[in-house]
Amino acid sequence: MAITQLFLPGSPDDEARLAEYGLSSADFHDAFRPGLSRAVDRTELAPANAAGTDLYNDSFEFLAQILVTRGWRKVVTMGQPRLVHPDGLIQLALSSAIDVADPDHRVKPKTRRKGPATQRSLDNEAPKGLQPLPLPEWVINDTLPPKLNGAPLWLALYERQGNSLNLALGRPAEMNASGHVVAWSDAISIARLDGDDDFSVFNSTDDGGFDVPVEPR
Amino acid sequence: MFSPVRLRLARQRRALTLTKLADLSGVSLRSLSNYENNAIEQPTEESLRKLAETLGVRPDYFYRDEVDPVAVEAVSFRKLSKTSASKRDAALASATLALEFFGIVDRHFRLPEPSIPTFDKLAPDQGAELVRQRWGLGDRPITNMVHLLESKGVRVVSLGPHHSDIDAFCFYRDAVPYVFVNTMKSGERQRFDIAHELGHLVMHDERDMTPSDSRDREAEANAFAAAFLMPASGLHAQALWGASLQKITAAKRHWKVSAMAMSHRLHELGLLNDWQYRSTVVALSKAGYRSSEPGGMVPETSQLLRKVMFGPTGISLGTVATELAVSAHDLGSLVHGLVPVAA
Repeated sequence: MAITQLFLPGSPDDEARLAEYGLSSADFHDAFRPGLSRAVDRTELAPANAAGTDLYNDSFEFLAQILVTRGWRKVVTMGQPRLVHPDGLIQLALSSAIDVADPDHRVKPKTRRKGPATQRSLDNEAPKGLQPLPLPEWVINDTLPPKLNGAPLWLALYERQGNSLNLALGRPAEMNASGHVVAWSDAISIARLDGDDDFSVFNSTDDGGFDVPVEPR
Repeated sequence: MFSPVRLRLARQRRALTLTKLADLSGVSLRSLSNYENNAIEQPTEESLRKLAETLGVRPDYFYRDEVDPVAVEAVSFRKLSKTSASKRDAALASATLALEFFGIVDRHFRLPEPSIPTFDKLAPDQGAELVRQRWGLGDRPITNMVHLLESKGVRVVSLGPHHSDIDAFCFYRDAVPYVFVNTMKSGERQRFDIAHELGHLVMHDERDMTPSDSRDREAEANAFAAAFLMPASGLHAQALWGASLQKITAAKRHWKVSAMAMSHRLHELGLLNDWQYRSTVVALSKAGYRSSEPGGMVPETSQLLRKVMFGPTGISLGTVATELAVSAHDLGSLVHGLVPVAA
């Protein structure tokens, strides 16, 4: 069942909820930062969709690099790359969207057009045959243990505004006739990634030094 | 047997001409010329005493085993054209003393084996990336350039306080790489100089250094240093496009480079456009970053020398100086700024 007023500004509760899945806003910032940097650097000579492609491809890859070290798995479900929690608590796909952090909390995010993989994973009780898109045969390209197969799909939503990104996790519940996800059964806010004022990348501690072995003869 | 080579080295270390040495020592110019040019004339005991006193060595220094001086062709000097011949020779004579110093150290200690890769066919940025890969450095800041190079078998030596107009130089001797660094500069600039010399070692190997391609080599070594200290992938991941001054100073502290070097690198990578770069340089200059590094890092020191000199079985500079028949002060110049030594 879709619920309104889910996408509220970030709060400690959101970080706690992310932590339940072993995630944090910082993870998403680390994953999205390189793609955002590349997207912002694109010139007018680049193809129109280059910046969007940078964001999606780079961010998915970096998020995967971060999460696979924690036991997550990358799977491709009907062509949709996803990352599955090691205990099957959640699976993530990336999606650009609009109104991800609209100050009017009644306005909910709306994704770009999504495909059957998302439609098949909507969190609602409506018969799948009534969904607006024709449903092809259900195909999972990767063989997963049973406990991972049922992991609920959440979309990591991102919306670029200049040098910054609005971010959120949303559990898709309804799609409209055009294939946009327009309703959500659950949501978790992620702190905004501000490209101009983000100094957190410089806070990392030293990795340790280099040992110079010197032994008496 | 009296060594003309050692007399020349001791004189050059003091940056003295023959005429000046004659004035200071009271030994005639003609005799000095004969001594240095391997003539039959051998110094008298009195002349030896005068020369030793003037040059800060013991008389038996001139009778020690022959030494093969470091030749200028073997060395990559930065800003060679701006360095006078006497200062260059003084630095090279000190380098020869460093070889003897490390000869003794090597007798007492097992030091890291040299393992500097050679990429002389690659562009500087590609070479820098491959060295990072081979050494498992990823694209993160290098915590300590001196320790990194020492762990790869490089002997890092100080130019001492008397060669402030020379940035750094390097050479191979018996397959061992040596890097001489100006420890009077800021910590950030020392790191860049060391990375620059690493670039020479990686890209220019043991090739003789000819003045004709000096400019190209220096440009390559600079490009290597920038790419090695500030890898493109690392900077791209930090959202540094159009970076503000505040962000540039945060980034330069993170990567442990000078603010000017960081700005130049961002411009090189297209993260600052021409206008942004120019205004950044102007603002940094006004803030004093052109000639110094306000709020800069503590310069790096030597782990190898610390272990050699202050470890449980350490050998003191005095002990080495006695064996080499030189003053501890001269040896102290070689480790100046790299380890604490008595004033």
